Amino acid sequence: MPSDEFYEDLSRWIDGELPPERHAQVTAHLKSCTTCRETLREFTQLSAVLRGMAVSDAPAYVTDNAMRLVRARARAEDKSRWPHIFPALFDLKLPKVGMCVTAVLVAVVLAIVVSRRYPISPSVQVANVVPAVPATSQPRSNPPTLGAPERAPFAHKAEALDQHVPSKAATYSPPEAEFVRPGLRRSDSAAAGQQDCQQGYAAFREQHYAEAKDFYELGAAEGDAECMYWLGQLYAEGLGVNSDYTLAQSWYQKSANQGYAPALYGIGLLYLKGGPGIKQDSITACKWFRIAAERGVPSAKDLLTANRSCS
Amino acid sequence: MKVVIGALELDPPKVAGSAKSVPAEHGPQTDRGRLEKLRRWDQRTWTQFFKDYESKIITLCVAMTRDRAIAEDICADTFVRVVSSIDAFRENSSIKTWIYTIARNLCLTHLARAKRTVSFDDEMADAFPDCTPGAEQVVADREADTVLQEAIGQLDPSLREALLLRVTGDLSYAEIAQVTGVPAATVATRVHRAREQLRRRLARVL
Repeated sequence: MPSDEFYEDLSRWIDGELPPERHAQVTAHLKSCTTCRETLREFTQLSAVLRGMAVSDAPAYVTDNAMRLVRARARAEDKSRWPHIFPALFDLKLPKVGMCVTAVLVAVVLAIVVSRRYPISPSVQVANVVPAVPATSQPRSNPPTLGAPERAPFAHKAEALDQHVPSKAATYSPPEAEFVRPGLRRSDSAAAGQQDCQQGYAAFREQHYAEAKDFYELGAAEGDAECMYWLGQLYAEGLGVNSDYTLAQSWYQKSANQGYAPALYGIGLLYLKGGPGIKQDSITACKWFRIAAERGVPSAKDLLTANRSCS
Repeated sequence: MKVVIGALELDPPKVAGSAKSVPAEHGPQTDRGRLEKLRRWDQRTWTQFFKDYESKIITLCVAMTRDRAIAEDICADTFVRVVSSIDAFRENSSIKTWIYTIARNLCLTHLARAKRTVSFDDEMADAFPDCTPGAEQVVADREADTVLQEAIGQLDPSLREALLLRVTGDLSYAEIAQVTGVPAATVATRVHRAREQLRRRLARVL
């Protein structure tokens, strides 16, 4: 018959509280003693029954008050210690200086992107959309040239800007040079557009403005910037169409977007004169002239040189 | 892998001092990681923490107070105490020991305040159904549980507490010693005596 001490050791054996040597002794004894095995069976079954008694359906309200307190403490911590707003970031253990530098860089990049997307002045807008003119730009073959009386619808306004402006500079001249669009690939459609533009100009010289407009529209549809410019001219001067400054500016702008710098000068003239859809504004006109001059339009340069009010 | 001793097939018993004597989920590293998240007021961690302990705490409190509703209230109070004092927890013991200590102290406070001397027979009378049709069958089905609860109720509170902390709370003798404030050797004796008394009283059922 085992002693009471052995039964206590049996209890400790079940609970894993015996030292290894004693544990081994009790295990060896259990293999040979039927009485102790029966006691072990009863102890084990008792433990199973007790575990079965454990509460398994705790009501939700048991944790409600505690969780409310947890949420309140979490909110208080977020307000008092801002790093807790970004616990994941701080888990990375990044140096705080590095994080600050990164934040500043991100802010600068964002500011640049936003300022480019939403320009606050025409100069900013054009600086963005018009690529820089290559210094080695070559003249396009036989650029159309108009006579001064025929091509200077705004000459009187230009002269009004400054009495000292020479008539040659004040009158509008056709583009003397081609402003090649960087990155633009010459293709069949480009060649077709160029041909349409030449045919349009031939009709223009014959004062067949409606026919010229048709050719220019064909060329513009092909993406030819010069045709777009000439369409702007027709709408600005009301040749073959009703004068419409809004449409004129639209075509000039499209042409400028393609890198055709004389269109910038055309926009300036629209502002200089003012008309339906565009309010007369000498300051804005000067800005456009300045942009055009920066992109190598001789007429704009001459105008700015002679016109001190624009400098 | 089961250990077979004669006709018995048992889970392998743990050996004191071995790595297996400390369950992985309660290891010091895990405990510290969980404590850090609790102190950061991570709500998911708190929810899981309460889920882990609510049943065990209520079971202990039911055993101590013999009243399910009061046990649930004490469990709720225990959790509020834990939240309120988590920053002051000094890590002299494990979180598990700490929370059981709080629950036990609240139970003792409740018993002392109420000065309640509950007759177990009165309590059990409420547990029996009325003499309605089918009641005998219900009684028959629950006979084993009733006898077991009666036997547990007749245990000395200190023995009952030690046994329940060991079996349902899964606390080691050392942890029970921390919770109850008595030496580990005393805990071992109490657990054994509780088992022995229950075994004799439940010989018919077991």
